[in-house]
Amino acid sequence: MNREETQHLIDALDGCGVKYLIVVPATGLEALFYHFETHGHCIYATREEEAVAIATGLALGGEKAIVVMAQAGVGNALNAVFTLADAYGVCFPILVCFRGKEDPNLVQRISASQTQLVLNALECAEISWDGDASKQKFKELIAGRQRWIKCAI
Amino acid sequence: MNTDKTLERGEVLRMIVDHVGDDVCLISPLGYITRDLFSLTAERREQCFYCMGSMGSVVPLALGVSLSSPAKRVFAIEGDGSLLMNLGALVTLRRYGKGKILLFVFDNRCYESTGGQPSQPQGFNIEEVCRAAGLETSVATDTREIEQFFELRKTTPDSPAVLVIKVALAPPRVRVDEEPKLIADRFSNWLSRRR
Repeated sequence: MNREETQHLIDALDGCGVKYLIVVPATGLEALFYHFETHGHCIYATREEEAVAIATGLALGGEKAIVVMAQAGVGNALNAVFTLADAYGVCFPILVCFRGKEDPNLVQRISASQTQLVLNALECAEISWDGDASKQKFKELIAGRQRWIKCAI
Repeated sequence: MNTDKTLERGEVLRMIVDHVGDDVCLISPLGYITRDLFSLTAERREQCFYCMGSMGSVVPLALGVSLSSPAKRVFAIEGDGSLLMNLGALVTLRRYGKGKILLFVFDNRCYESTGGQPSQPQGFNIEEVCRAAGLETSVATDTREIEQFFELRKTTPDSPAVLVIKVALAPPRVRVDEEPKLIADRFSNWLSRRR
């Protein structure tokens, strides 16, 4: 994700009033982490299911949180999403940063291909951080309680 | 009555519930602990979040609740097997948690609800893992030690504390018969009323 795309993402999150970023650190998102470290709360979790549980607790208490994870974390997160956040009807978005099928890491290519199938089943929305239209789209997805949102990294 | 320096799960839960004031919420894990707790908290329903899934999520869930509602005290109850499923959460708790979180680990050294398979090898002590994560950790093998723990925590320190309680095996009580969304909405409303 280049600097301009990252700024659009940050603007979209700020525009929706997101105060807590819960992440397992992933490549290419350093500027996003730094923004929330300095202008909100950035919580580094050790695994994606842990991030989901933290966000669930925050949302139960009325805070606006988002979980951001790499595509490789989707599998880790699923049980917590299904049996905690979904089962108890707790609303917060999960942004999956996708490395894509042309990733130089051959294992990540397979991961991308397989994870895409999972995301399709989860009715994941897709967004490109390319301007004001993307910020508006993100706002609409949040208003619609969209759980899974995918973007390219 | 146990003679091997372990406590009865129901007795311990009753002691914890007795210490739940109007500013305390309880979060319990999937399995027998939640079933027992549900049977003991009819008067405190709105303060309880009964997990019926997501094994290993109690600690991070409690952390999120505490961050969102800093005026509350959070009693998080876990089993040893459930805690082992997500040990990284102890490190995150140490890093971001405040002193209003008390973590009670019910240590029966097995996965009781699936038939009693061992959860820890001989010589392994879950309290040492908690201490290694930098969390202030005590151990209770009798009721006096549990009361001592509460006494010491009357003033809120800066960081979370853990009490590992050695408990015996026991059959569970009733199943939770409430809809998860009802539990979450009630709990969330309670948090919002008393922020």
